[in-house]
Amino acid sequence: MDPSQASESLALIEQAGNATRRAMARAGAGYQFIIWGLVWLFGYLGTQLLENEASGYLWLMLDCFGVVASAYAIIRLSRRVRSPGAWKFGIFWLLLLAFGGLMMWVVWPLDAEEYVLFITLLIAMGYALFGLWASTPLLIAGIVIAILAILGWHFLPTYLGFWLAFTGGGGLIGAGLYILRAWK
Amino acid sequence: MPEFDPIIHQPVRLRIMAALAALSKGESMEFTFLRDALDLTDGNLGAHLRKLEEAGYVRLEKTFVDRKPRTFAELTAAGQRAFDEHVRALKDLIRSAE
Repeated sequence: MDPSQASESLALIEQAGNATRRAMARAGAGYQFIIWGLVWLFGYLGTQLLENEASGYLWLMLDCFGVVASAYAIIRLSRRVRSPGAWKFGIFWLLLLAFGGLMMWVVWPLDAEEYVLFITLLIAMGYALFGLWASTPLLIAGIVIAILAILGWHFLPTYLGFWLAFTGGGGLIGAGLYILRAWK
Repeated sequence: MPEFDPIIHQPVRLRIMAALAALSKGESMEFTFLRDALDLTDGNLGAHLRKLEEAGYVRLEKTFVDRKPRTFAELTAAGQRAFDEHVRALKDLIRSAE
């Protein structure tokens, strides 16, 4: 074997590794982005346009949809890639929400914009930490959402719902569609 | 000095090994998922997987999911070691030529 053949072999290895990681990200993060992007889009539009109580019910329904659709996507993926440690992912999100609830209890009361920002940053932190562990696109999404949320809270507090619906929700949907189309 | 592995050296088997090495420890990949990710045919992938299984580099597990037969593939510890050594040998060859 000569060095040029060795380089070609290393390139093949890199391509195959990337193809696998992309196929897994496509089947995992791609669908999750679209599901939770839809939840964010309609949820934050509701936050902006509806009364508090109606908005709360809308979020509840959307979160139920998100959890069910997300679980379905995970079950479908688990039929193709078996991961014995996958249960830890569920524990991760439960712990994050539990600690988020405790932190909110400590800092309560919050005004409406602060409440929206708190929840958004908590979920963005979850995406970033989860992404660091499992999927780079999620890491990037978490950081971008956090930056956009801070910008919206600082510069457009009155329209924070619209801002998060279109940048956060729209961004997640766009990222999901991109992954599904480009990473075939 | 790391050595080239003649079984892994074959380009399709090299790609299969690289794809399975990209999984986390303990993870395994279903046959059709691997076939689609690497853009191979059923026959081609099946033949090379059997060769890798005979060498002890890949573990194939046949199971049923929703009453349909499925085959899951994962690298064995010996397969991971052989792959790592093969990659080191490739890198050494390139370095020695520089």
